[in-house]
Amino acid sequence: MIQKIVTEKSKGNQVIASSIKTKIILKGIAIDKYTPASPDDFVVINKLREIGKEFGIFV
Amino acid sequence: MAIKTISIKGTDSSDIAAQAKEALKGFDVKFLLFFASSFYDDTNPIAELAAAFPDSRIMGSSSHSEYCNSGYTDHSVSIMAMDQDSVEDTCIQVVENIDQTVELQDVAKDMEAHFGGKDEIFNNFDKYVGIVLFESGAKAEEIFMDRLGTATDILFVGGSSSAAENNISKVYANGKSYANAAVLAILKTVRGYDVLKTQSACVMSERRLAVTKSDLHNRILYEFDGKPCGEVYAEVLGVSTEEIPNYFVSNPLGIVADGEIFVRTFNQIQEGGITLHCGIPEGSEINVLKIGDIVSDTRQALDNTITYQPAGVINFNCLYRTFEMLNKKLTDDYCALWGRYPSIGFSTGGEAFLGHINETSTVLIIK
Repeated sequence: MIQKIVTEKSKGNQVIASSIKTKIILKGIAIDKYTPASPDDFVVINKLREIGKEFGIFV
Repeated sequence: MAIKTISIKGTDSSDIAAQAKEALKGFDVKFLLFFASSFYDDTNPIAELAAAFPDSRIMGSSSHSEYCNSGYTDHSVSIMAMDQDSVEDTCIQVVENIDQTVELQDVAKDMEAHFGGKDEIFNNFDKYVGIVLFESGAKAEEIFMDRLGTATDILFVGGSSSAAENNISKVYANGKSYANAAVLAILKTVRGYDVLKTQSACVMSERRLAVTKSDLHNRILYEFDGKPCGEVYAEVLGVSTEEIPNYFVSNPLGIVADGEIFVRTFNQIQEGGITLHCGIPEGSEINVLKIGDIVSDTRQALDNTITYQPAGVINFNCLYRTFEMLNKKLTDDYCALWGRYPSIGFSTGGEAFLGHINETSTVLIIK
């Protein structure tokens, strides 16, 4: 989910990709600790859905 | 000459504007940024500057103290003037009542439309940069920066107003002064820009603390890892809970994001929690930091980024850092670093880059 938001929002621009990651972290998602293998945490998943929506991306 | 920087002291704002007009004679000012000691606020610096430079876009902030090139002063006005060789176009907007929930989608859309819209900005991303100035009394910067970062990809750099003895805090634009407001500018630069931030703080403990209870809006921290935050902070430092206020200045908190530290400083202990100068949302993970050497860290940050002769450099430097340098008699050494470039700055009540930050210097470099 995190990667989808970053990829779709940045459209390949590395500066924007880096800034989006930082913006997500400052919104309260500690993205470093999650990998595709991480167990589902529904609080975080819902928060990411909201963040995606704010950015205009549906995840 | 694409950018000029001047420092002026005058009897009032009218005198300041007259001196600025004389100093910038023959220079076609397209965009003018100023940091004026709050000493001048009662004589309306923005109105006087707008009258002196009717064809220029102007924005500014009140300040406790000002930087210009290699100088540090108070009761002065620092001005940066850009002509068309540095800035092709600018758009300035004021957002009022920022202590209430503000939505910035329309503001960002309007500002981007001024330059041709999102696609034009995306395709020339290295030319467009934003400046944001907050009136610090509103204490709404972190929410505003979050909304702004959601509404636009443009990188905004800036800081919050400060005040001299008279305690008047304002931001300025459109010929008027504002409280409880933010002034936004988007600049289309001619040769591009760089942004840097330096916070003279590093991670003291690798232990990451999860913020499990906080009040973002009121900037109150309650719990780390489900325990009272003061207890956990004391545990990390290896001191008693009673001693922790002694460490608030030397050991602030930081969110580490993509290798960058975003500092959050303590204010005071209050019943059940600790107030901060920047709210932290629940879910964040923070590290306890230790403060380092402002001068050497700033030198390193500037030298790593500015590997060319810039047209101009704008320094939003935290007021706490100014105080620390004054106490340690480091101001001359610090200012010598900035004297290498045409530069202005002021002592800010908070800094902005991607979010709201404390005890940091955010820097915009115009190439």
